Amino acid sequence: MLCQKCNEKEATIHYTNIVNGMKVETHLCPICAKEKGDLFMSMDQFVLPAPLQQFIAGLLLSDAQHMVGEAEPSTAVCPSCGLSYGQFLKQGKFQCPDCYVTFEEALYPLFEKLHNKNKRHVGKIPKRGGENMIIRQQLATLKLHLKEMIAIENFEEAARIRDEIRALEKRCISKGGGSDE
Amino acid sequence: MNDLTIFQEPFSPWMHEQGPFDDIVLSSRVRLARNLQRYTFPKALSIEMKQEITQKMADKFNEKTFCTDRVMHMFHMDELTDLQKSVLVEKHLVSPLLTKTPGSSVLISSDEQLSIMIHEEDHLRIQSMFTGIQIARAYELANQMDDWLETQLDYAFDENFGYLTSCPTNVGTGLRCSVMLHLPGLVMTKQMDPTVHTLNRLGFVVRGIYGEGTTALGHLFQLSNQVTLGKTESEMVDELTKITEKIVEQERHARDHLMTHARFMLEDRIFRSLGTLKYAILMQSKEAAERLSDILLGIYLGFIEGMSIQQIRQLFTWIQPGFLQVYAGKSLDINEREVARANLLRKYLA
Repeated sequence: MLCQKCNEKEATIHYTNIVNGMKVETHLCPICAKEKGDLFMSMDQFVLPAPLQQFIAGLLLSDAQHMVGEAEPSTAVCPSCGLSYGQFLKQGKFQCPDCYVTFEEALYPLFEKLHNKNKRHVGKIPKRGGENMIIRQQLATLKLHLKEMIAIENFEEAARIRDEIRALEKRCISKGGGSDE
Repeated sequence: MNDLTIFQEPFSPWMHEQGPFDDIVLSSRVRLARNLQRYTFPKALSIEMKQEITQKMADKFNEKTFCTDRVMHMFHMDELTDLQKSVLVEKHLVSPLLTKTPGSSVLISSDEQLSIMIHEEDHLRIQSMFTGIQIARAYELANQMDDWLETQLDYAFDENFGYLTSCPTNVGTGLRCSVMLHLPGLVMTKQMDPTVHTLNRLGFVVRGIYGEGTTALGHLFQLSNQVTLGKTESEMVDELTKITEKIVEQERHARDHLMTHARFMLEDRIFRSLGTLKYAILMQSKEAAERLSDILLGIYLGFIEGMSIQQIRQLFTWIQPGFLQVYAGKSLDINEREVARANLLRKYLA
């Protein structure tokens, strides 16, 4: 077998790289392997390794195939950056923030797969421009608590939470309803 | 920090601080991916637009400081030498991708604990590092910077999807927490494969730091969260902290087991490594990492005295190509580096 890198010399060094449970085999000649040895040392951990990228692209493609029949595959093109859904599938990366809006419907099933069945953000919200989002997030949490309190018949606490919810809802309305800008 | 220390010192100032469990957990790191509204992501962004954002960032940090004792210094990749770039990569202050991206820059705090990569895969990547298991502290610091930045800039954010990122694997919180672990006990007792398997199923990613899957060089592994959407930041921090503590417990257990059942073999291996490092004339980076890993274990088990874990950690950085050349004061080819690496190790461990 020839070395994968130089394609000239006989590959004598074989190793298996496992990234996220995916096996990637590499076959190198001693000279290229030596160079690679030094490369290992400066590898950074935050760079997405190529196999993972392919894995994502694979997920996207299988999703697209999956959706044929249920809904037509998206022919949408992002109006802001010109990225087509097909290109997105191929590269596995978005090109601008508006891509998320353009391909929104197709993204939920993908995110569920990538993020362990989660599809909605529940974390931090930027304060600037996000006041109402923050209130809505607090409301959702409070409503969950309210249910819990009712379930364990802690009505005193439930009443307190209900008042808190009402106060927040008023604040949300006075801020101008749905606008987040 | 002046330019000299950052490019000359293999040990970042923050690494001198001791952290909880730092005999097994070398460091904790968090990273927040952020993008700005109204700009395409860096890969599709023109140089002019990139410069506009970089200038915006420079102005913000000139006008005000987010925190008086953390002055941020800006470096533009296009203005650095190849050697300076590899030094920043070896110190994990920037990613290799950043050094290859035209028009990219980085802001680094004086203590090198906090950095912001500009125009890597996302417009901004805020990153913070601490010794030992201190994921919560690392998040707190990165989050403070994020809080300050969001008062200055308009982030690309969506109510459903959270922080919008170039790659769908980062969307939501944009938070990646990771720890660097030294796990010779689990590897030698053949516990690493099942451990990795379990961690994967729990939604965590394990990688050999030096890229060799589960038989990683130097027994160094990086553990990080895979899921960034649908969990709060504090949940993510807590989960990784708990998992890491559990692994530390198992690693200690494995080391005890080895000491009880294979003490002489272990001792022999450690002293052979010490001997090799002390006397070898040529040393490849892979072998150096493996031998140094044995020394770390030897210190932990009390076989080797008069050396600290911190010192050996410093050597892990010294033996990398960039720092070897800084140490030698000239550029070295791959064969010269093997000689220089062996020289350095001999001197240091004599």
